[in-house]
Amino acid sequence: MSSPATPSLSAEPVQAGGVPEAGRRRRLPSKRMRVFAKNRAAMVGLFILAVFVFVAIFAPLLTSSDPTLQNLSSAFEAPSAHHWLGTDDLGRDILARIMYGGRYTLTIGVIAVGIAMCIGVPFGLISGYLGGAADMIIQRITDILLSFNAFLLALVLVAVFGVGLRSVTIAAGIGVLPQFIRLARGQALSIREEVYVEAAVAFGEKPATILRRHILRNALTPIIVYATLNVGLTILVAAGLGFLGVGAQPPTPEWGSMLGEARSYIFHASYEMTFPGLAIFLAVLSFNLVGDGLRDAFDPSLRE
Amino acid sequence: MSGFVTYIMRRLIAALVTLLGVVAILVLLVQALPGDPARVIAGLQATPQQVTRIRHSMGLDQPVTTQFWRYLDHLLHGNLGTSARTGDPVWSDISQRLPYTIELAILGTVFGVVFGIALGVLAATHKGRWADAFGSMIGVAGISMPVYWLGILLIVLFSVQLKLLPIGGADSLSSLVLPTVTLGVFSMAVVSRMTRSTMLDTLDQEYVRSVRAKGVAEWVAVGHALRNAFIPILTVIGLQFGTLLGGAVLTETVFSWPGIGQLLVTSIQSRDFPVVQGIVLTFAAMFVVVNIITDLLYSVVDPRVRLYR
Repeated sequence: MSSPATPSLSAEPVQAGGVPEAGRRRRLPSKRMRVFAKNRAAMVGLFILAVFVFVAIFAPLLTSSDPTLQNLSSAFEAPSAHHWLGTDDLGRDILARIMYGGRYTLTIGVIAVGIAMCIGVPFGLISGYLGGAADMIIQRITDILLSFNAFLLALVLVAVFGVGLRSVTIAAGIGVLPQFIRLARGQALSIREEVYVEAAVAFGEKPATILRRHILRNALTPIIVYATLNVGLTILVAAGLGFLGVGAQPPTPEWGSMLGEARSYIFHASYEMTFPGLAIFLAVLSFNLVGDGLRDAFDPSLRE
Repeated sequence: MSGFVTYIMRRLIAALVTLLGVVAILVLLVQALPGDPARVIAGLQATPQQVTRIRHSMGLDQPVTTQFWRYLDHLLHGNLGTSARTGDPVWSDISQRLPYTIELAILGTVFGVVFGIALGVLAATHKGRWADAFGSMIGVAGISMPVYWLGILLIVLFSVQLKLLPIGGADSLSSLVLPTVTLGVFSMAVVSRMTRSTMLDTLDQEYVRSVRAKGVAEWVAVGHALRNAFIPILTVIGLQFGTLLGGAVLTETVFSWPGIGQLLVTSIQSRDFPVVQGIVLTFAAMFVVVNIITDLLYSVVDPRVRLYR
């Protein structure tokens, strides 16, 4: 893992009583944004994502159907002009459920990654910057967590926390936590060798200040890129838990649990499982495409 | 040779430390159960006697450090405890089902590696052309595909519509096809992305260009490059093996495949913790062993790699 870029101290005015602020150096965001904007796949991803977010926010305006209202007399209706994607086993409109379901799935993905970032990044930065015993202990724990894999770790945690939206979100977040610790540690290891960090040490800045002002600020770009790529993964994990029946509980229209419920009817209503699965796939795909694009534009060193 | 033995010993000790950590976490997790862990594990319908039996058999009436050493002691004697639901020894449940999971994991990995490398090489040797675009598309679609959805789609197409392959179970060779493909697609996508990027690097190296300059067939040059692209590919195979095991849990559930993944799901649903602990430990051991094997394969693939000094 290399640092985002080499700082050019000569171009920076040295502030009175301190070292040049690392965050302001070298990057030319507009140039990198142009590289990102030229990436066709990333733009497709961004478009899909925008559609999902729009639909999730404005679901009540876009559909008049209640996603949880049961109507057994219209159960298992194939896609038609009235129900564009058909109805499920309890007569609920599948399109409405997918529209509202986006709220749960996307929120779970983003919050889970937020949890992983908030816990993983500080630990990773401390581990990489301080080294020594703290590094050894944090890395051994990370090794242990990594031997579980994100999905298995989340699955086991759900067994402890119990089923439901909140525990799934936390479990999915902890599932991807070790990756964030590793990434932040790698960033801290390379950034601490930079001249501006040495200068900060020489100026007598406290480790906590150096970590916040210099290390974190410079590690932020790769961390955000990685976070985008991981939202897709946490969505897959959370939907997988829903599919197994240990995630969001009925009648919540979460896509994974919709797929799990539809599984029993693949013989006579295969459309019921087609659309929630497609929604999960497209949402994950959009985050992966955007993440790939951000990575190529802002930090190619993260590539595979 | 002694350096090699030292290296192996060091890796095995590190693996043991990791597995001890996994055991510690598994023991601690039971303590984290809300309320009385023995009551939660025994289930709502359990009689006070059953709760007491579970509390005693899992050592929940003792301090957590005692529980940890007790679990280790039992583990060294080949005892993973007994199921809270059936009362059967956990190890006998696992050992009956483990071969199925290993079979599926190996087949899924082989499928992923073979097709992933083929796709990655195809993309790298046709950079910027349609084959590259196709390969990249399959790569990103493969890592975005929910394995459970892919499994059901394959069942609908090949079992329900075309009636070509069995819907699930493990009764015949043909029942292996759909689970293997379902499980292998993610590995295929990861391996193909890795193969493409490393092949693009190696194809540009001096030695490949000089081989080309000699006028050999293109596949000979590609072979030279591929051999050196193997190290990162091996690394990614080892690292994504954990994801493969997670995928196996879902794949086994979709196809009613009688492995330990399916048992893990039913045990989690019924909060049968002794079984959950046993299976998770087995998965962690498999992950650790596979990563040691891939490390050792580095020096086989590339003799320049010295794992030890």
